[in-house]
Amino acid sequence: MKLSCSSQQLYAGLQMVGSISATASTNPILQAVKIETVKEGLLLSVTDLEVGIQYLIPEVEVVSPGKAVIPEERIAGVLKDWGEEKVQIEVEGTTSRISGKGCSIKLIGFDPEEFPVIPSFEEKDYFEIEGPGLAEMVRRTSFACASERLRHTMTGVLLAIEGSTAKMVATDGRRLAVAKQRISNPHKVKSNSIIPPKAAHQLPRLVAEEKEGVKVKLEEAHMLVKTSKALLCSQLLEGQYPDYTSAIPAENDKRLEIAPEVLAAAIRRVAFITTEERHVIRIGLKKDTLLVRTETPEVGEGSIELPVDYKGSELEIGFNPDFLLDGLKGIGKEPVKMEFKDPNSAAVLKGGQDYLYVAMPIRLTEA
Amino acid sequence: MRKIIHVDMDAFFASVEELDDPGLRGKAVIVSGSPEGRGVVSSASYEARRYGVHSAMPITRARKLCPQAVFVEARIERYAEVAQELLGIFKKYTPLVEPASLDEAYLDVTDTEAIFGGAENIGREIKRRIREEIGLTASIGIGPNKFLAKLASDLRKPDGFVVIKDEEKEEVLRDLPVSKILGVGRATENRLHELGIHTIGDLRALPLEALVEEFGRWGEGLYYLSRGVDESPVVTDWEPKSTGRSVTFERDIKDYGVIRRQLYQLTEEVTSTLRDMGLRAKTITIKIRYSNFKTITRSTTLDTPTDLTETIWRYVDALLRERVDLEDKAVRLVGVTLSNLTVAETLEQLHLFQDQEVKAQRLQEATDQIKEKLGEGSIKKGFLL
Repeated sequence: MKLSCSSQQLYAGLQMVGSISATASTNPILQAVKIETVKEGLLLSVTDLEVGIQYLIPEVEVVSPGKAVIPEERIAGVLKDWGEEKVQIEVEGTTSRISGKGCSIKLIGFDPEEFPVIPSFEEKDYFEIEGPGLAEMVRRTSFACASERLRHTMTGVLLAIEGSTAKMVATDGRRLAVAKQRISNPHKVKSNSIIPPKAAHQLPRLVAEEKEGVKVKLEEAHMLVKTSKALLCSQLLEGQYPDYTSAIPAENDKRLEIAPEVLAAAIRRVAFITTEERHVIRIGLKKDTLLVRTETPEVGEGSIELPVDYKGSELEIGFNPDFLLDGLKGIGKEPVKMEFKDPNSAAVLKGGQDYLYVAMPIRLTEA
Repeated sequence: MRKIIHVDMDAFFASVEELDDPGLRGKAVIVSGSPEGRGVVSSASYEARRYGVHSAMPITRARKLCPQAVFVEARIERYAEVAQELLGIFKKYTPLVEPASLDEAYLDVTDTEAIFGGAENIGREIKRRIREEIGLTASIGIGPNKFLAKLASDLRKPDGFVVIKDEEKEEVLRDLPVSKILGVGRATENRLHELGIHTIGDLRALPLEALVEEFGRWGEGLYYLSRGVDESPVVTDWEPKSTGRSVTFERDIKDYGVIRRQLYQLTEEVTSTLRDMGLRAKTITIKIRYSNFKTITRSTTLDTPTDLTETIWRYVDALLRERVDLEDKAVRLVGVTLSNLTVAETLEQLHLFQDQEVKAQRLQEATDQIKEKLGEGSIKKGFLL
């Protein structure tokens, strides 16, 4: 194999695939990138067996076709400050020579035949979604995933497909985020799949800039996501996702609307008066006022009054401030509709038609 | 006037060993430091002390002085467990308990003595309960402050019971050697001897200024202590940082099932302690000591603190299954420790999928009630049978 291409494009491509290379793995081939000449250019592949990513570098001058497997970190390091210069790659056996004007580097790699196979995307039974929309859904939900490995399915993001709607759900049992997005679903895909955290983490980068539709295919045990340049293949998490719909309260009668950035600023400020052990703020509601306050023994107390249009009965409810801030961030710029019931029941935050966030309170018992 | 009780267990480690192994009773028992230790005596029974053996003495020397003694290895975990039981007794009489070490504690009963018929009654009651409920003897000292209480407990060891009244303090102290003052070590003692001062009475003859000049701030302490004045409070605001239990197998174990069952029992015990203390734990650690004494710990930290046995057991079980290498290895000791403890009631993060948590909570309460009524072993998990 012999080719030359833009070093910057190749480096950018390695950045796209490299972050999943399994640095902790004992199998060195999982820390390597496979490069392969294809009709459209040069295809980069990296996999840790759980998630695999392929990325296409177009505009490659292929002198002779072929493939090679090269340690990913090393080639990325070599190309990092290469400059404008083009780079030549010449492969003989398992050794790759990377050269430019005056520079020559030899890297010993692996036999491409030993590189794990990343399944290809068969053009059937998929749905299509806009790239930025998909990235946004992940961004608005994945932070709410559980970090404990024992609640296996809750470490992932649920992707529910039905009709022309894709729904993404994440919860750690204390808060829940649901984001919706329209899809084009000519094959009438219907599925409930749980995307593992690693794949959820990779997705936004790969799809956010995509101008064309992103094709997503959900198989029994795998998810495949295809853009014009990239392919992501991920295992799915097995198991039963908790019945999240029953956790979304429908009858919260204490309702108000507020600008999310205004509320977030108040919560953030008051949260400075909490401690790690007593990480709690109180939201108080009374006529036309929302009160954010906290009191922390031996630290101090603070309260901020925000004017709102509220006519319901009075309420005081405690929350982990981070949970509210996360939800407000998920909502973004739209006004947030907040719905409460009582101090021991879930609160709902809604941003437009596409986003819903449920936060469980902290029960306040006076010590 | 304050009423302070000092409880000092007699030859504590050695007595616990005799308690657990009746064959040792009446013999000269010498507890050596842990195998990692430097080979010094950490506790000697009174029989051994007759031969001049005392703590901190090199084992080799102890062996020469008392060749017929039975030498046993210290089991700190076991002593800590007994110390917990002792604490339980003390706390029946006052919340103001300051454990000074595993084998001694100060109790401030100033505000509670009236309820129990006076400090002396409390002292006798504690002494009796330690004997009857635990099977050990303690020396009790009662005084108007911590210094005099400790001095009193030391005056007629073992099995002593001494009260120093405020009006007697100067007389009691007068002829005692200066080394009886808490904090007077070899260096201070030598310097005082050089100054011709041997008894606490001698010390009282020195003016405050002279003592301060000689010993700095400590001189002030000497001045007041020699007069039986000690304002130091009984410090109770210790927050338990962790609670843990471990067990050493009688012989090294290779059987996964046995190890797992033992860990379950420990989990039950520590979570029960946790609930008694009204605390919840966020961090769960298991400890495995292999037959070659190599010891590993594996931890996990939860999103939300819990005190439920079943919840904590799920994590303990997973740590054992996923993060402990037991292949071809025999295990000598297993332990479970809960840390990152928080007070249970004040702040409680509620859960979305409450059903599961509530069920687990109810199950726990029911199990605890059955155990309370019918005893610890009355209800067991299937795999323990």
